[in-house]
Amino acid sequence: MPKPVIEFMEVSHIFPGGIRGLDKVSFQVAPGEFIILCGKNGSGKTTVLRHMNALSLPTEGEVLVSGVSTKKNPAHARQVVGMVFADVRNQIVGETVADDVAFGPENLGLPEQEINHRVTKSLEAVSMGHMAERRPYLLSGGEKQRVAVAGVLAMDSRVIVFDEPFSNLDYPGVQQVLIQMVKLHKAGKTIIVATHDIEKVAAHASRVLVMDQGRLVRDGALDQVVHDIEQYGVRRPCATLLGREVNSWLA
Amino acid sequence: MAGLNAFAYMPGHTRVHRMDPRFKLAGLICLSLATVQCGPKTATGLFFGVIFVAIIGKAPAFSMIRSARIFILFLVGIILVRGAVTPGPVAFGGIIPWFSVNGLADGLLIGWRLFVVLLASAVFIATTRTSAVFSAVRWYFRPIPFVDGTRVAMMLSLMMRFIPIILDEFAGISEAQKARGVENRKNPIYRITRLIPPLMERTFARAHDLSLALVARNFGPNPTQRGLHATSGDWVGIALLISLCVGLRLMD
Ligand SMILES: Nc1ncnc2c1ncn2[C@@H]1O[C@H](COP(=O)(O)OP(=O)(O)OP(=O)(O)O)[C@@H](O)[C@H]1O
Ligand SMILES: [Mg+2]
Repeated sequence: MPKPVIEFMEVSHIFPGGIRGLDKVSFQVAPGEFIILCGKNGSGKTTVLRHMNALSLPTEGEVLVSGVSTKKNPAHARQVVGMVFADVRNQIVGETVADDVAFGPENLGLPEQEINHRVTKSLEAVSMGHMAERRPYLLSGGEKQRVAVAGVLAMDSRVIVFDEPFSNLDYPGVQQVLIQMVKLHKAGKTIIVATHDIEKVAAHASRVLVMDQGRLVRDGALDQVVHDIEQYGVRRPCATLLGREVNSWLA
Repeated sequence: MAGLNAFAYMPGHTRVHRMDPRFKLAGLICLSLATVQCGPKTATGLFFGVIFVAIIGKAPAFSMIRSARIFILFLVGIILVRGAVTPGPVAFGGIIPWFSVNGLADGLLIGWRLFVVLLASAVFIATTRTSAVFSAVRWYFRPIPFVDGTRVAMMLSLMMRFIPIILDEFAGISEAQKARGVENRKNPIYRITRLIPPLMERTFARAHDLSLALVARNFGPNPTQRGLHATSGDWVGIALLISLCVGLRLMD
């Protein structure tokens, strides 16, 4: 097994006020995996993701990102793991699309030429090159999401995590985001998608993690975990009920 | 969202857009200084100078100012106050007994100067990326001892990112309350007490989310400086502006 890019070691997180967000969560992510992180509302998905790029730090245990503890070097974790937030509205901070994509590389202190190069490349990768000078908050939900992805790509993150990427998107919007994910995965990125609705990504993921009340309760391939997944409040993909393969939404 | 469109950067690639932000900022300051205690000729000359730059920069300066009507009200207020407090012959044939001719002229001149500066700022904002403004601010503060230019620029940059959020939430909440008939209530105190708590709550929540988003992308005190490339065109531009300012003041 290659060296894991993300490693959770008995991670517990207790929020101020004593609420237990995570309870001894352990798992490893190998480079190049495509993982679904699912569970019902409040099960702890977002909290897990936030530990991956040091937006939250473990109360107990340790999170390693490419071997480095997020407590010791949060900036490293944030560069390796790029996060696309559930509400992309909050994620966009630039006045124009290009400005927004440049924000991360600027903060890494890269030379201006390199920044411009990365901005162009990342926008092209999400087919948003023609909108570089648009104002982000006037874009549609699907377009905003692609800008957010470009912002992550521009930081050259190896792992890209998506928090509820399909909420608020219509069918073509979902397809656009899926196309991006599959393309990024093919390009060698590690993809982690948190969602309560696994149907849309099921065909593309190699592994499913199921959260319940802050604990990691299932970890395996889709056909291994799918049978009793409904007891954790996650709907089974329709096709698996009929004993069939789950078709891609891109087909 | 209309409020957000008013005073904001308008993307473009004009000569004015491409100018080094340090020169644009210096030009704006120079122009503001030139209006201090200036006569009507200088103010009018500068007005045409600003219009010229606005045209080259394709900046919709007037529509920006129109959407910032509150400033116009402010100008009218100044004219009225000056008219009232300046001694001299009474204006308007004494229809308004306390209003003097000298005061009116004075007030108009002050209003006219402020308007020119406002117009120039609008053009500056419309043609300069915020990130470039901060690079310039940081650059100017660097040689000053005991002032941390990086800090100043960072605080400004946070504020600029934050104001649209407050406006956005304000617009959203007041719309939702209008939809539920809040306008039938004539008592402004009631309306304010219904508006402020959700506005505070939403603003703090959004601020929290924004700070997470900034942190997730490694927001820090030392980003790359953008757009600081002085060209000969920049020098020519600032030289022209300074000669205009000095020339007008000498003629006044
Ligand atoms: N800042 C906080 N303070 C206190 N409790 C919190 C905080 N953030 C989250 N929680 C709690 O931690 C638990 C896990 O939250 P989390 O946001 O990770 O869930 P989730 O699986 O992402 O849910 P959803 O599907 O609704 O997004 C919830 O019970 C939530 O109420
Ligand atoms: Mg969540």
